[in-house]
Amino acid sequence: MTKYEMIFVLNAEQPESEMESRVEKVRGIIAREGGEITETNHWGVRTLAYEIKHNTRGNYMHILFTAQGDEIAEIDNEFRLDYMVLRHLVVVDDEWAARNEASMSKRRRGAAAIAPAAIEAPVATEAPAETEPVSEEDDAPTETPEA
Amino acid sequence: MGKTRARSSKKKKRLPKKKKCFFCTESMVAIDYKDEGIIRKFTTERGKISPRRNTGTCPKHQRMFAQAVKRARHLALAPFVREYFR
Repeated sequence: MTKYEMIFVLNAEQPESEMESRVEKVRGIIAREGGEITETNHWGVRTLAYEIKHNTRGNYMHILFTAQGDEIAEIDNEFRLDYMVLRHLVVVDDEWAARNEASMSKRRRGAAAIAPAAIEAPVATEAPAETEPVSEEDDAPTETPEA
Repeated sequence: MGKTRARSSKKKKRLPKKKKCFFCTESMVAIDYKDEGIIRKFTTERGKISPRRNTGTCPKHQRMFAQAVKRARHLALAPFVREYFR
């Protein structure tokens, strides 16, 4: 599962129920593949930095969710065709991706240091990038002498 | 910045003090496009992305920042051009 971050800007004249229906739409699409919304931040009506379709104000919604990845295109299409949505953006959660990358490289370095000659090293790096790199590294050296 | 620029004249010219990358000193792994303060700090008053020679940002973070500004502009969180300012 990848963590995504989404922001969309709704026409400020529309009622809040319209906002809710858009969030539900996203929830419905990602739920099919087992994804879920982890956080919603309603920023409310803000002044736009420039005029969009003669609107000077927009209603902002910020959502964090998990998804497999294939659904993103569908979400994108839905919002693109929605005339009430002035702007939308779906991106991979940067902070999450950077932390992931850091833990992966740490593990790669750790595996290389423990067993430089062993063939087990690439197997260790292929393990899914979850949040306990320490425990995995502790397991690795104990396995190698036994084998 | 260990190297000193070779000059034909023996006259010593003071080089400006090397700026440190703000994002490196803060050890930021990602630059948030939602953070208006940071977008404002590293763009000119017209809304253009400030060059590295002015801000001292390292190449890696400059690329990340440029991406962040473009996202912010798309969402109308930052202007493409700020016409009226003082």
